Amino acid sequence: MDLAKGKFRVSWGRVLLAAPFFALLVMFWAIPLFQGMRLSFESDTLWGDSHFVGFKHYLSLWGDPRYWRAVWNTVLFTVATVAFVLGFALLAAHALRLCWGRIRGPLTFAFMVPGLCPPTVLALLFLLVFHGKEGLLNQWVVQPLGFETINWLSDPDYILSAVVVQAAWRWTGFMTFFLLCALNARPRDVLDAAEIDGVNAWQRFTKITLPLIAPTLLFCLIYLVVDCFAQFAGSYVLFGGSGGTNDAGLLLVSYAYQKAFVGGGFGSGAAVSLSIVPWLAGMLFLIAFAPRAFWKGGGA
Amino acid sequence: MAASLLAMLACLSRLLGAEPVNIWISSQQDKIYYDNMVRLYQKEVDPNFAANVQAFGFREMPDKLAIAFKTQTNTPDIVQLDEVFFGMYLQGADTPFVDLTDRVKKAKLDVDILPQRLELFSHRGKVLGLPQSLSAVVLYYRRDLFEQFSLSPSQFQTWDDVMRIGADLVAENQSFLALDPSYFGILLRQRGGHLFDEDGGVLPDFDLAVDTLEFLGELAQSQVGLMPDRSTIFDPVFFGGDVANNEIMAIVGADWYGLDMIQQFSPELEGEWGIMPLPAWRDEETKTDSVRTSTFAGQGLVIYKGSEVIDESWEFVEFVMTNREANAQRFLQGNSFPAFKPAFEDLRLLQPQPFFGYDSMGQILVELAPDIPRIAMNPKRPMAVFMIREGLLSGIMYGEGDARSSLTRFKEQLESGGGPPDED
Repeated sequence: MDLAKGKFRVSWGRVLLAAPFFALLVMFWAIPLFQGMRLSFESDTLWGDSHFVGFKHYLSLWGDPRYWRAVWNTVLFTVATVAFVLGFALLAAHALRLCWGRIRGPLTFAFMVPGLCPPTVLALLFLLVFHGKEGLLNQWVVQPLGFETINWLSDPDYILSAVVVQAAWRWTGFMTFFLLCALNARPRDVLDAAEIDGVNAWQRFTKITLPLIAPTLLFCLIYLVVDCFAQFAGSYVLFGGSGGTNDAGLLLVSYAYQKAFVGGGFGSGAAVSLSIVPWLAGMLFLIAFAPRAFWKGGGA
Repeated sequence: MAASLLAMLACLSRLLGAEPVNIWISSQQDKIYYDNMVRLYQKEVDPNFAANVQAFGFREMPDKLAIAFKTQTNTPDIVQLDEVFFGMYLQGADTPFVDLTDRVKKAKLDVDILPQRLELFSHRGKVLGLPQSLSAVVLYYRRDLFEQFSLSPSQFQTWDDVMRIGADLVAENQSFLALDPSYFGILLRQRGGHLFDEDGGVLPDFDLAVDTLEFLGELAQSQVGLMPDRSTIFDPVFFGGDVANNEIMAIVGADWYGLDMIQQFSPELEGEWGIMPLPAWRDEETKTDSVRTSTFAGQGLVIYKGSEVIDESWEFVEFVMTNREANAQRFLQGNSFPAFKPAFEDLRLLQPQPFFGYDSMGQILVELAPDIPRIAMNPKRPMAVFMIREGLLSGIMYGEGDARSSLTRFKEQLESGGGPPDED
C-alpha cells in the first residue's frame, strides 16, 4: 500500500507473504481468545446447551478466597523467579565473560540446555530432585548443610519454593545468554574512558553497564513475567493439577484447570484464565513505566 | 454423484457392522484386557464386531472426555471411567451417558451385580454405568517383614492393635503402614460415615470425620504410618522407594490395587505379600466391631448418549459384565475382582495366589463383599476427592490447623463452590 503518495495500491506479493502469519495468528490466537471469552460468559454446563450468564463467573471470583490465594501465589512466584533468574543470570554472564574463550561457547550452551527441554520433561526430572529424603536436593544440599530433610512437594512452607527452583533452573541459562550478548555489545571505548577517568568497578556497573544493557534487561523481565503467569506444565507434573497442601503452590492457571477439569466448569475456568490478563497487564505496566530513561538505555 | 456413492458406502458399511465401537480406557494395562475381550466377543458372539480400543492416562482420560463432550467432537462410544470422576458428568438435568436401567433389568444385572457397586454408577434412580470391580478394601502386608518382627495377621484385629503394635515397631525404627489421603474416605466409610448423604449434604457425620482424620494424623505423627515421599501410594515411585526399602509393612488398598499396582510395580516381591481384612473399629461402649472392609474408586463402563452404535456398545458391555470367561480373565489378568455375583463361584477366582503367598484373594473378597459400604454418588464427589488428596491429610501433618478446622474449611469450600455450580 502506498499511502504516503495518497494512493491505495495493495501489494499482493507482500500480502501473500504475510498471509501465513496472519492465518496462524487468527487460528491460534484470535479464535481461541474469542471462544474463551464466549465460554466465560456462558453457564458451566458440561453436557447440553449452555446459556448466557453475563459476568456471573467473574463476579464469583471476587469473593473466592482460593482465587485470591492463586493471585497472591502467582505474583509471589513471579517476583521470586524474576529476582533469582535475573540476579543469577547477570552474575553468570559476567563470569562467562571472564572465562577462557574456547570454553565460553560450550559453557554457554550447557547453561541454555534446561531452557531447551520441554517443561513437562524438566518437571519429571525435578521429581527426582525434590523426591523426599532420597531426592537430590536433600541429599546434596540440605543434609550436607546440616538441616533436616525437606519434603519439597508436601510441606506448605516449601512448595512455592520448589516451583521457583524449577522455573529458575529452566530460564537462568537462557537469560544468561541474552545478558552475555548485551554485555558483549557494550561499546568498548565508553568502558575504557570510564576506567581511565578512575571510575571504580561498582560505578562502572551501575552507571554504565546497567543502563547500556537496560533494553535487554527489559526484554528478559517481560519474558519471565509472562512465562511465570502462564506457568502450568511444571506445577501440573509436580502437583497433579492442584496447588499442593492447603493451596500453598496454587497458581492462576492451575486454578483455571481445576475449575474446568476437576469441577467440570469450563465457563468458570475460562473466566479465571481471562482474569489473568488484567493482573499481567498491571505487572507489565509497572515494569514498563519504571524510569523510562533507564529502559531506553539513556542513563549512561 | 460421488457424494451419493460415499453415503451409500457408509450405510453399507454400517449394515455390515463395519463401524468400529470406540472404547476409551483409563490405562494401558486395562487396554490389554479389553483388547482380549474384543477378541473373545468376536469369537463367541459376533465375528463382525469391530472395536477401536484406546488407552489414555488415568488422569488425562477424564480431561479428554470432558473436552470431547463439551465440543461434541471425537466422542467415544464406551468409556471406562473411574467412580471418582463419574460425578463430574452428573451436573445439570441431563447427563451424557445412556440410561441403562431397562437394559440392566432385562439382563438381570440389577440382581446379579452387588447392589452397593451398581448404585455407585447410578444417579436419580437411573443406572448410568456398570461397575467393573468389587473394589473391596483389604490390608496388604509383607510376610517377610512380619516374620522378621515376629508378627502375625491375627494380632491386627482392630485399629487400636495397629497403633499399639505400631508404636513398638517405631521403637525399632520401623513404620507399619503406608499412608495415603484416600484413607480418610476409606476409614470414614468403614466406620459407617459418608462424604455426602443422599440429599447432597457434605460430611453428614462430621464428628466421626474429625475423629477419623485425627486418627490418621496420629498415625502420621507417631510414625506408625508413613506418608510416601510423593504423598501417594498410587505413584510407581512409591514402590521403588518406600516398598523396596522395606520402610513400610502394610498398605490399605482395594482389590484392583493389589492385582494391578502391587503385582505390576513390585514383581520382585512375589510371594512376600499377604492379604487380610482391614482391622476393625472397636466401639468401646457397645463392645462391637465395625465391618472389616471398605471401598474406594473402581472403574465402570458407561455408554455415551450421542453414540451411533448404542445397541452394539451395550451388547459388548453386557458381555463383558456377564460372560464367565470375561469375569475370570478380569481377575486372572491382574485387573480387578468382578462385582458380578455369579462370578464369585468360579473356582479360578478362589484359587490361592502365589504372588500373595498362596492367600486366596478371591476367597477373602467374597467373604467381605456383603459388608462393602455404600457410597452416595454426588456431582461434587470428584472435587471432594481431589481436595482430600491434595491437602487434607498433609495439612494436618504440617500443622496447618487441626482436624476440625481443616474439615470445616473443606466442608465450606465444597458447599460454597468447590464443585459444579448450581443450575441457573
